[in-house]
Amino acid sequence: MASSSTSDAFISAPPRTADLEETWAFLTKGVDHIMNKLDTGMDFPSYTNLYTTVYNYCTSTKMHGKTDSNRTGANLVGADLYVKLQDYFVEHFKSMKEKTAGLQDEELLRYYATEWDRYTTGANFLNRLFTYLNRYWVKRERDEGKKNVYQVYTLALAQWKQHFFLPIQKEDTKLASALLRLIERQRNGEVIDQGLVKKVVFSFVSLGLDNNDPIKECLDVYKEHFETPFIDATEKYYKKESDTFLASNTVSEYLKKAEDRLREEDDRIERYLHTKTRKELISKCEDVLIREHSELMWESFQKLLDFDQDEDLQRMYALLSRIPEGLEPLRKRFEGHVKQAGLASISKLIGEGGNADTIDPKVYVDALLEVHKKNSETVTRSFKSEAGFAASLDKACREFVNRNTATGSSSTKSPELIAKHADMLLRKNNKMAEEEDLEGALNRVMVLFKYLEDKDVFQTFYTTKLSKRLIHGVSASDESEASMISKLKEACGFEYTNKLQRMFTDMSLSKDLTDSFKERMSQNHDDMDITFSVMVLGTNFWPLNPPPHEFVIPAEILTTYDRFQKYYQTKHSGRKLTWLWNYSKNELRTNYLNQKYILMTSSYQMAVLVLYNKNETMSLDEIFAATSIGKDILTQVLALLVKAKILINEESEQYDLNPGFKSKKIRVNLNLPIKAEVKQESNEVLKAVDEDRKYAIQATIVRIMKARKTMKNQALIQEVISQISHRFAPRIPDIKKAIETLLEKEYIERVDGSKDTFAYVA
Amino acid sequence: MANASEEANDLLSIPPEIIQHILVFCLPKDLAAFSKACRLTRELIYGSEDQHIWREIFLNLYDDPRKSLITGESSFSVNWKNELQRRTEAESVARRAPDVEPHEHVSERLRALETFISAVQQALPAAKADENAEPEPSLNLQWLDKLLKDSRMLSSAPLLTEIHLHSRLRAYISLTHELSTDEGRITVRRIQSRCFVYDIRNYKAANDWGAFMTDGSVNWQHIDHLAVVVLTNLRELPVERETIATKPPLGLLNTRPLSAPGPYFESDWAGVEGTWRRYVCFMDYRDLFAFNFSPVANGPRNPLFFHDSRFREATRLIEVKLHLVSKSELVFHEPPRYGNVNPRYPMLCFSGTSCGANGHEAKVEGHVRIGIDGSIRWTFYDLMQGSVHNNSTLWCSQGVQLGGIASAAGIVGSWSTSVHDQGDPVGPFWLWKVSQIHADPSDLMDFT
Amino acid sequence: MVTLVTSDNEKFNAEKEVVERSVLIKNMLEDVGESDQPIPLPMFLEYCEHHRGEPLPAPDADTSQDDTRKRTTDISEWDQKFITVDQEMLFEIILAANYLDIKSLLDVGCKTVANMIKGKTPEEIRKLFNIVNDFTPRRRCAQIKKENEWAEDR
Repeated sequence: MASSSTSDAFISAPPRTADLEETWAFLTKGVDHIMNKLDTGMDFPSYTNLYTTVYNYCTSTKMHGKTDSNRTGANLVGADLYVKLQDYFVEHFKSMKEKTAGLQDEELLRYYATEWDRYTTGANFLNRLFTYLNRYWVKRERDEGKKNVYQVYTLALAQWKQHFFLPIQKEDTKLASALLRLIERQRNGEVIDQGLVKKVVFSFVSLGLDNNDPIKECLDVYKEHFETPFIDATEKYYKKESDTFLASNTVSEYLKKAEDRLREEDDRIERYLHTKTRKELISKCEDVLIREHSELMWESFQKLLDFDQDEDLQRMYALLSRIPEGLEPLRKRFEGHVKQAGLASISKLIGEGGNADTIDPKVYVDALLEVHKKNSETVTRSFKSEAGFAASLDKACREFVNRNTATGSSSTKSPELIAKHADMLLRKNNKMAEEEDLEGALNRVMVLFKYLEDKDVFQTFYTTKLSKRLIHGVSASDESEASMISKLKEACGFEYTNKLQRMFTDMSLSKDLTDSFKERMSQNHDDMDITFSVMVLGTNFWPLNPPPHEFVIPAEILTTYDRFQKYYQTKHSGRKLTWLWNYSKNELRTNYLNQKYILMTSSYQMAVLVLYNKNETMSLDEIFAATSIGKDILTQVLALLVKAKILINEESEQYDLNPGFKSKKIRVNLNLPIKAEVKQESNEVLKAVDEDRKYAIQATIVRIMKARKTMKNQALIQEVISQISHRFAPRIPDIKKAIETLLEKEYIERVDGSKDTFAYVA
Repeated sequence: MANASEEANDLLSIPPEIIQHILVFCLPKDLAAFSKACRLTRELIYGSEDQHIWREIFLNLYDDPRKSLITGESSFSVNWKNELQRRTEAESVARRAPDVEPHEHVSERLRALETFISAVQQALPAAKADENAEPEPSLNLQWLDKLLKDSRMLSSAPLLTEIHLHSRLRAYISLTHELSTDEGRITVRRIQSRCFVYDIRNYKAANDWGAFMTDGSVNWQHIDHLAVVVLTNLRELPVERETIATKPPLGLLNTRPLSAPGPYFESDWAGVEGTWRRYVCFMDYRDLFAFNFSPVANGPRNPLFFHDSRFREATRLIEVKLHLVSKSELVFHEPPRYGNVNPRYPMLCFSGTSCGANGHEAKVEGHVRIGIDGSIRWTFYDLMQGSVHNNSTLWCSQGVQLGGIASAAGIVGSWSTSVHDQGDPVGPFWLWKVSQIHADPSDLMDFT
Repeated sequence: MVTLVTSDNEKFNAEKEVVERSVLIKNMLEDVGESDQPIPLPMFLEYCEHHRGEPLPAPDADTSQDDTRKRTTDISEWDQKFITVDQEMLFEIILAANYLDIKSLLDVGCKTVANMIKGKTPEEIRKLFNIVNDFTPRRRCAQIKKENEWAEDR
């Protein structure tokens, strides 16, 4: 490995007693070799000779002979060797500096990098050969507080910086400029020698020196001579580029460009910059590439939404999310966009010939859901489900779900339609139930339910509809009912669904009651020729009203009626049973025709028809007298029977049994809803809601006042609104009215001498 | 062929850096002996321009003063040679047989006492590397504790010129060096201290109504007496009541900076926030009055008063909880406007509650600051309910931290009323920080 | 395997891991590269062999902030035995350890000498190390006494 020339040069080491001149004369040859020709190798004897010469010089004890001047007294030897080294380095740079004077750009960098490599390798080598100097003299100097004395390697770097690096940089920052030009060429798409850039850049890092702790990384040279100008150049470059680019390209294209550039700069750090530069570089790029053009992006956002340019949306989101204020304008615009889409969708429905009153709940719900689904997907896909966009979506949905062309100014319309849709879903014979997608459909109802402001209206409609499904036995399945209730419970809490659950309890208790009654009757009586089942429903839980008129119980069922009354009283003495004839139904068998039919009737129809067991023909007044059913209802009952051709009404107010009744079906369903009932229903529901709200507001006021004792009018109203708005949006006049009511009832009073402060009356 | 083994047959032929490396493993006195061997060895010790040997040996034996928390003047550079020589010399003085004639060697003794006090001040703070690690021991305090205990230097009566330094060290030691054979001596000290502490003439405007000199520095003699009164009372503490939270951590090792329970944070340099325990001792006011003003027991102020076996002093253990507040939040009393001696340690104001065995809570507030002599001075105002006579007197207490910042040993001082009327009651207190987990309220007690 | 040659041209073979206890040899092997050429150095194989695998001091750390500050003069039993040699040999070991940059061995040697010095009078020290008292009696005597006064027993 070692060429003979190197070995020869250091074979004859100076004697132990050699003085500085002799020692250095020998060492300087070695140092020269190491710094300039290390590539030609070095052998063991040479290495040891150099090491030993340093060792010998530093340990030369000349204390016996006082005249010798290598060391005085107990002080360590090394200072003059250190100075020699220091000077050597300065000399070493002379020819290099001449060389660099004629070099520019890449050539300069290449030369600098090559020299750097050679120099640092050599300096490392020297550092080890001068170990003895480092171990004692240098360490002692530093211990004594001389922080500008360094280990030999560090000294070499300090000298490079002072006598080579800084002089080159002094000429128009020649090195940094060369680096920046090279980087610019790469940004322009040229292929450059990245290894070269990296080498030079990291030499700047190495040149930083913290005098108190030379081992610690210190970036001051790197920052001053490279990072700062680099960041400035970056800013200029991208400012110009983005302006030029946007002048002749679309925003969509710009988004792609900016994204690429940001990725490129990030890679650049990995490739040849110090990682500490990342923060500043990236934030500068974001500044120039995104913030500077954010207005433009915001303005183009609507177009991307309108044309479903999903990729561009994703890109715009990703870019703008990098600057703190970037997304908020997008969120606002998105909110507006969703709201418009919702409103437009409903307007289109109404416009297509539907009118707001007769709109089909399913169509309505589907239209709302469609808008929600589409935009919810946009949030997930384009905006990475970011919370701000999700909130914008919710806000917009809340708007158009509660207020649109179909609802007009009514806040109860949407809850009503949605509740009706839910009813439809949960009824028997609904196709959904068969398709097993009922659960999914119910979940979608809940999506909209979440947005409803007047959840109490929904609740009331839902309760009414549920009670109908239960008493008419048309519910699709108990599981689906239970599932829906648990969803509502999850959304609104126990109180919201308490009544609903009680209705189910009543249903199951009633079934048991019917069974046990039948069993008892079969033991005591053998004359039960009619089938009987009963539902006993808690007055407070069911939205049902007793008939507004008397009802003469037909003799045919009177026995059963009495027996049940008695049976029930023995079981639950003290409870009052109110018979809801208006919701009851019966089945009758015909005997007066050749063909035997089974007629399914309401109790009113039954009461009328059994009269014809004894009469062929009857007048309205006679029927009224016999049944006591209110005339307005009675006429409609009769009209239905006439329409079904059971009765014949040929003369005014005269009803005859039709002896020639015919039907294709054996079971004939006569029990169809009466018009008056249908129309009344919605109004009654809303009346019930209003009533409930009044009490809810009053109860809330009392609760607040009890806790606070005294409160100002305005504060009280605010508090009521905040406490109650999860159920419905209370109107301020209603709250004021409730306050008036409570003042009258003396739950609260005005504080003396104050018009708008109230106190709780214990 | 080069190698290192030529001519290495005697000590003086090996390089001086190696001889110095050898000497660094020696003790200070060996340096002196070595330097006397010949001109060359002398040159090695005294001829060097640098302080290598002195610094290295100093750091082998003592805490690095550059790491100490100095509350007085902030910047200093260490003269390692002087410091090492001073410590060595002081140790010799302490170990010398007691002087037959106390006036001999006065200046030597003074210098030694000063050296010991500076060793306490320069003790390495008990900073822990992490939560569970034991802090590195303080070499200064270990050295001094052993030296003073072995040498019994402080057991002989001091001259007037020494009494200040002497008392200061004794206060730090807090009777932890007493042997079982010293009972008689302790009884004598107890009576001397009671006479001093309960002599109401020792509390006047000129000494800021507390244990201070007229120039504002600490009167360590007074502090020592206050400490002795509390400590001798604590010796009568029922043994079964003695727990980690009923007795302050005593002795030199507990004067170490930051040895009190933490946690510490930047803004709370004095370790104010947390739970503290406080002993307050007092004489029945009638006794106090009789001792100071009546001819009982050949009085007034005759030590015979305390020889009476019927004499009783009361001791009360109180729990105090403190937190930092801003100066404007103080209610009871305006803290002094006072230039900061050391900007690193600005005056801190605090408030909190105190609670005695009877469970009554009272409000406490006050401040802590660096005194002109670098001492850590604490001032409290509180309503000590039912302490002596009526229920609502505002009490004022002033004390001094024993040792460095946030020392485990805590604060010793005196209390009196905030109006300082003539004849107002006075007494000693001892306040120290406890770790929350050890603070069991059932420890709190009154005893006589 | 590395071949070592002593100053009197004796050759030894040693494992690289063992001889790398000397920082000098370690650096040299790294800098000059693996080689079959003998390394012309005195040997301390026994010592290195015994301490094989123990951690070496960190290279070029600024050791003024020495963590292992506690400088005791304790010497392990093995080292004690190893270093029980005549004075001439002891200094040779110290110098070689210094040259070869074997810190632990250097410390063992220096501690051994320190233990010899400890507690001795100047006269004993002179005798021990064969030192000639070369002070000029009259003039220096007072000065020497004065500068060492701090260490006098009182």
